[in-house]
Amino acid sequence: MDELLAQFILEARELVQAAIDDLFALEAEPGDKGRIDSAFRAVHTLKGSVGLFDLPALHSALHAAEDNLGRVRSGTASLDVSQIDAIVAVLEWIDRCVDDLEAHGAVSPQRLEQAGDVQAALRGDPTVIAATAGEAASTDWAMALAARIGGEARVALRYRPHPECFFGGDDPIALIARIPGLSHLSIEPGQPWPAPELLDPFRSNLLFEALSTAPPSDVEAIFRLVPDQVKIVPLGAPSASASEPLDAGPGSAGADGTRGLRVDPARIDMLLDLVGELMTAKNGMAGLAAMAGAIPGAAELARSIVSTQQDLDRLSGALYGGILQTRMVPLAHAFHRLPRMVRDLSRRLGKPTHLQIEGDTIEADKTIVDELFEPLLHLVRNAMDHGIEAAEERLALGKPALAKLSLRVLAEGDHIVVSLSDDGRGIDPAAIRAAALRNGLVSAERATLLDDRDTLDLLFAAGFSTATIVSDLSGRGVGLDAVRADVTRLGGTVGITSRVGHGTTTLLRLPISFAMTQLLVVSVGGERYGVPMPAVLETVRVKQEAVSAIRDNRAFVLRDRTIALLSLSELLGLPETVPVEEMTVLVLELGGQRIGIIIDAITERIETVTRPLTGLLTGVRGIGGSTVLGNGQVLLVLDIAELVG
Amino acid sequence: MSVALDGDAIVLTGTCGVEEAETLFALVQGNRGTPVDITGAEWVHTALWQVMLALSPAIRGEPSNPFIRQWLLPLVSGSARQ
Repeated sequence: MDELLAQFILEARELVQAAIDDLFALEAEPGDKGRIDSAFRAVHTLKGSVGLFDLPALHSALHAAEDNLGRVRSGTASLDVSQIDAIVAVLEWIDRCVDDLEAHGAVSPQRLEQAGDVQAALRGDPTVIAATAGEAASTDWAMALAARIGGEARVALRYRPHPECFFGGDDPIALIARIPGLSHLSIEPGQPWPAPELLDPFRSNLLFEALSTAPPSDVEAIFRLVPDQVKIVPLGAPSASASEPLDAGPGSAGADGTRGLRVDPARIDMLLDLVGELMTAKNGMAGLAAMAGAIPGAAELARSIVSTQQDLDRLSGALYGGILQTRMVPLAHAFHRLPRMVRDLSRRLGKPTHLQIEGDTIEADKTIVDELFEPLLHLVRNAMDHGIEAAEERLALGKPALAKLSLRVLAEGDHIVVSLSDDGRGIDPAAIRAAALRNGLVSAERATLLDDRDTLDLLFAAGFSTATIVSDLSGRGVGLDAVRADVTRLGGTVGITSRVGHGTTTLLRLPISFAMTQLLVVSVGGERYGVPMPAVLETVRVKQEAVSAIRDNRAFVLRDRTIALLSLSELLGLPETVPVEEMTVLVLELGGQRIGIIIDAITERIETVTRPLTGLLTGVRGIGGSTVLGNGQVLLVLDIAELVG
Repeated sequence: MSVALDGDAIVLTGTCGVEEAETLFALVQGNRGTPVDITGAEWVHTALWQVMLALSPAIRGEPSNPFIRQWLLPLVSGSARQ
């Protein structure tokens, strides 16, 4: 199967599932903004992916679903149960289309016929949902026909021309005559023939049934202008020809076999979790060595423990590195769908564009590469939609008609830098400022203080969109905020630079893999959380009387600097703990400011692998990732900046 | 005229377009028992086939078009040439 299609199938399933999960959660809790955003984004991305293939019916159904969700999101429509059902029906229909694609490489025509019905439900006609579910039975005639006639037919066709079709210039038999490999044809009256004198020679009352040995797609092509009048049912092709397009091609599996093993990524993840636990267990050796050192006369024992600990350090470090290596894949995996998309957009937008890719052999962790695709998709669309000018406009400006979009990857130590540059019109900071003001993202006085770089950064704010028209591309305010959220979750940063008239560059800086991190395990309100050590400047004990109240806030003085004091239990929405005489405070630096975070106690320091959150936890505010403790417990790792901000 | 009454038959010749369905209908209706001769027909529009299917006149002759010979003739002849 086409690799693009294979990837689309995988991704579409995930996105359908994610959106359905969100919608079901919304059924229980209709006001959940995060869920609405997330469902909208999933449908939006799915629509974008569908756009890469020639599947207009799927695209338009998703577009309609996205519109409905968009109205809910902007507050102009509510999401009642029938609306949720309708959107879920679209998604389930898409899922079945994906099944078809996987099984036959094309969506079956009778499935495509349901597109109108699932869309009608979106417009508020719930009765048709059930109708589409029972649609499968309507292919019985095809099976019966094939069984009756026999032969090697690959496709059955039932064609009921519209009664008025002769007026439209249709000649149904001329279409039938074009069917290649025709092996059966019958013509029956649609309704019983009337008395001869009542016959209207200009109204069609014909029903054609035919069988053909040609590929279903060839037959579909003939009837593409009358899709509503024809039912085309693939009959399960002769096995030899059916398996042909599904196989990856001669020798490809064998070639893989000699190059290396194909391992389920889940197995590698399991090893990675285990090695994380091993690290934690190993960390216990330090305490053991200290204990032995404290026993009189056990200096020898203490020394051997320390030496064993050092061996374990070295070995577990090497093991961890080795496992991470197996997860490294070239960035090309995230890029390979982009050229096709750029080509497609070039045509649709009338903006001939050449995409140049450099450095795609550089490798990074599979999760990072996989997750990079979606942000890149948004960025490429933004560039094509808003950045690059139409060919005529470019010529008028003295630029070459062929626009250039370049995607470059550079390795920088343990980071990769992915840059996407276009040579389009650039972004005018003044326009951004104006739009931000209009949307209430910044106050008037703050707007005047923003320099150009800060202004461009506003593009990443949630809900920002400078697009004046809703196109079927980007520009619906989903986009750069989602890009930043994705990149941040992966432990990276994103920034944008632009020169008016010359183009825009977006820089993504991402870690190559998920490195070992030192965590401080803190307890608060009976729960334990991890805080990344690099964020913590120091831990101090602060007496209650040293805390002064400044309006609603609290602060204390540390070495002549006033430090704002926040309570972690309050930030996490946990019940406030009983004030103690002396508090344990983590001092952190956030955006150039020092703050103190009150915790109950520090439990331990560990060195472990922190992974970005997946699944349901992805949207949880203030949680940056998770790690597995030695005892199998999952420890949530806090993102203090997000928690405080 | 590619649909015309000619002696003992209603004769279709050349390409018979949709606009001739009315003529054929009137001729078949008005001349019951008169066969339709399609020997010289190159292509016959669906609307005319519908008239022949609905009114079942006898069909005469074999046109050169292989599709008509193989697929349509058996369908109209089946009911008419008994």
